Amino acid sequence: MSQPTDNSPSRRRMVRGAALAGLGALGGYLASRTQADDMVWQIDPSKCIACDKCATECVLNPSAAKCVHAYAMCGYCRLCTGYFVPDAPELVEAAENAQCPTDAIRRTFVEDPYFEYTIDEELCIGCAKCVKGCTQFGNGSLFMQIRHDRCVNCNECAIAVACPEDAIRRVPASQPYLIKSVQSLPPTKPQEPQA
Amino acid sequence: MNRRAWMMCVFTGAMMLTLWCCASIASAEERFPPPDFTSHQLPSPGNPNPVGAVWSYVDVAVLIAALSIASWIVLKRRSRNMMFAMTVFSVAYFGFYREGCVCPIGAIQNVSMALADVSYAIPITILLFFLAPLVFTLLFGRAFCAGVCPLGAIQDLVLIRPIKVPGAVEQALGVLPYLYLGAAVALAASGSAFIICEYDPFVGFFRFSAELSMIIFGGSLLVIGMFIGRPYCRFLCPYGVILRQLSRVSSQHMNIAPGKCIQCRLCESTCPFGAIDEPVEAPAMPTAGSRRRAVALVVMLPVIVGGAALLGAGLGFGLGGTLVGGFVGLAIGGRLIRLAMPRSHDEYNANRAACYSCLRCVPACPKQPALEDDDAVVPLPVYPSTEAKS
Repeated sequence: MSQPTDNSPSRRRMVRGAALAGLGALGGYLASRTQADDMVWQIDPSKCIACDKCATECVLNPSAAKCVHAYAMCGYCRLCTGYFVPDAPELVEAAENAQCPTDAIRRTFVEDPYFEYTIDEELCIGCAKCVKGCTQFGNGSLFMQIRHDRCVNCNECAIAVACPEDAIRRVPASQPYLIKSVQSLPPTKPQEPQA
Repeated sequence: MNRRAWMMCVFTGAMMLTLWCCASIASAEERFPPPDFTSHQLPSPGNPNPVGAVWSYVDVAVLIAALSIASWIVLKRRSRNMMFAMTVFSVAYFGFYREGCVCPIGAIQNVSMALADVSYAIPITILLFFLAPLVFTLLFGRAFCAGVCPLGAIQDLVLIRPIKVPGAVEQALGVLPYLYLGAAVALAASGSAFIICEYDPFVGFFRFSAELSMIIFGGSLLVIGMFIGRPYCRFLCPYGVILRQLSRVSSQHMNIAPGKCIQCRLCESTCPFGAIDEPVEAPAMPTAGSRRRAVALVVMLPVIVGGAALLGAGLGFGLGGTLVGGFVGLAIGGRLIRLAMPRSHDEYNANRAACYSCLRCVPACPKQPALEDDDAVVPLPVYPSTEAKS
């Protein structure tokens, strides 16, 4: 592993020149393809199965992944399956009835029989219990998103590694959210209201 | 009766299956039509923008400034104390403050992915993070490892009682980084995983959050690192593989001045990384035996590469396994050839490939500053005596 000290400067200069040229070529090629836009991580709501990995796998505590509400999709139900546990003793705002372990979902009365559900992101830990409830029995208007005021944009997102459905991918930073909307749903035939 | 019960079962099963199918189709439907409020305004969840973009440019600026200062310390000031301050700064800023991400080591994967996957555009800041330390190493040696890389710096700080690693063990374990680099490039290029980030041993400490297994891994590396200098840098770091090749041909490198060395061996015994080469006497060198060994190894090289490639393919990773195997074979072959033909030099020398420019040898040298300054801009009496003591 020894290096000659006297007889090789010219060879060394040649190799160095070649290496610099190579690095320049690599940098130039990749830079020419670089878009000004950075990439950030985001959860694809159409793939998310609302497991609880977002809450535990993120390098941040609490997680950068939180529940987001697409109000336009919400049924404003009195019996919200994202808000209440399935066997809630009573349909009132008490901890034993609530899905959310941190009381991050608040509900306010709008007009009979509608209630509005809002997420307090300071409290939300991304456990996705409400998302599961809403997706299984409701409209699916509650869904998981990585909040970019918290996300530190790791080179390899720890939640993406752990995600069982491969639902987390890089998206352009100019459009950093994959928001659910009525239009984003697959076309469905009209249905009778059930509740 | 039995038959009827059986029919019932089938019927109920079919009913349930139909219901389940309906339910699963309906799962994405609007089961409860959104109300048509007349006066109530629907709120918006708000979508806060990413905050990282500005910071990443600041990070690039700090990286380049830190590389410049570290190189200046190595080549012009040759001060171990200043380099120590530099490592503290890097652990604090790149480590704990910026939480060790993005780092040049991990940027290998972004570059590989960008080269392999046309649809992935590498952010310019990550590209700069990858290239800046390489260019600085080509010019000034591995000052990046010495004082800028947070992973190197945290290991340098815990190194309190260095012991020597036998040369053979050092050479053998030194092959691991090639394997790690090959696997990381292959997995990133195929879009499977970013293993360098996933198995980064120290990022968990920087963030105060990690899985238990990674805390154990990183913690044991730090404990080992108290005695065996920089175990991650020497025996794992994939970026170090690139840096050591570039450092071999760097235009400047810290070295021991010809003619001033009194061969006291103090630098050699001070270096925790085995990066100082002993003098090799010229007349003893070109023996027939060593030449024959070297020639045999050069002839054997394709066999070694091919064998390793076959081994890699045999592990069942397809083309990627073959290429990684071949790459590791090339590294082993090259290492053997290099060992078989040492070049003669009559003084102690910093090994350009292995030396991190940590400057521990400078205060150890009794002929201080016998360690040569390539440009000799700073005259000898300028060095304060405090630096000699540390």
